[in-house]
Amino acid sequence: MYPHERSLVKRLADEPFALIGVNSDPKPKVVSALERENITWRSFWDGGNTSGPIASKWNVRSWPTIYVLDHKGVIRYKNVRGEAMDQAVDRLLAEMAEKSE
Amino acid sequence: MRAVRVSLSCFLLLGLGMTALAKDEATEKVDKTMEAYQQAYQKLLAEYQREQDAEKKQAIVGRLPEIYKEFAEKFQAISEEYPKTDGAASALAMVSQFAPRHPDTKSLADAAKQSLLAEHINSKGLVPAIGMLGRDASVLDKLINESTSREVQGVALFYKMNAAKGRELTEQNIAEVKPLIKRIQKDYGDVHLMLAGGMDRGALADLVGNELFAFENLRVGKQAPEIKGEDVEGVAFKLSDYRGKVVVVDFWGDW
Repeated sequence: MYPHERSLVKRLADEPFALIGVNSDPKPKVVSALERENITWRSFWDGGNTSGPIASKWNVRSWPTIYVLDHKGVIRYKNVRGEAMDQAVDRLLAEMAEKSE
Repeated sequence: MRAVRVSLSCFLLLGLGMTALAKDEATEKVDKTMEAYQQAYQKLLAEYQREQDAEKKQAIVGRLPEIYKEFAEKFQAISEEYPKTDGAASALAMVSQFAPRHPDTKSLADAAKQSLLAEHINSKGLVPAIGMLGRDASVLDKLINESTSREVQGVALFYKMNAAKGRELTEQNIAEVKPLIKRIQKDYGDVHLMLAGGMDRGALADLVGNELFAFENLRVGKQAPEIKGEDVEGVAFKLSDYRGKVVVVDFWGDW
């Protein structure tokens, strides 16, 4: 998953786009992952285990879980992975560009 | 990499937490055995996390079934030593979960199931086995209607709700599921969903509350709930800081 997300973030570096993580690892583990995998995007740290407050509130039962939000903060896609995630994001960016024209 | 991740979900399934139960002698033995299982499991997990080589990691995961076998047999022995007690019910619940994971102990699992349904439906020790027993929907109804244990009734009702809900609450299934949720909230909110290995998934009130929250707030088309928190460095930020951008929210872990 890291290489894919890394390339998505890189490709859209100049677009109104952000990838925000919510991480469920103990701190030393997430710090080493950030370094090792060259993870450039920001993550909420959710208390070090899979029943942290954010994952609980969002009813997350399996990892990874993905939500794609439009520029107004509305949930538009859930659990799109790989290519499907890219397409979802591209569609929302295009929709946003259309509306502002 | 993928294979390792899939196998690792076994760890997550049976891994976390410890709980104390009422203290008759059989239950005490179950607790001690559970503790020993936790230690064996944590040891293997630590080894897995230290290991860098993917193939060796896989080999460590491959040793899990041996642990399940060892503890299936230990729990089986407890159930035979203290027949028809709460402790025996807890022990058999563990057997029913652990035994299918090793070819040598598979047959123990069916016997444990039968014994649980024949002799232990009134014991809260049954709770960790209800998810597995409840794959047969008629068993859930039997437990809801015939068990004298509130814990068993409540957890059986929860699994019934879960089956009716499927992947998530939707406009299509909400009418069917809502009455079950209401009944859980009214009568069984304080009952905890205990899983095999002593893992406590929390109070049923919270679990069904989360489902309703998800239905109202986490479906496609809904405004995403705010997240306020801190990043890994301890710097506070919130999801709405990114309003105006397309945002992927990615719940992830490095495992």
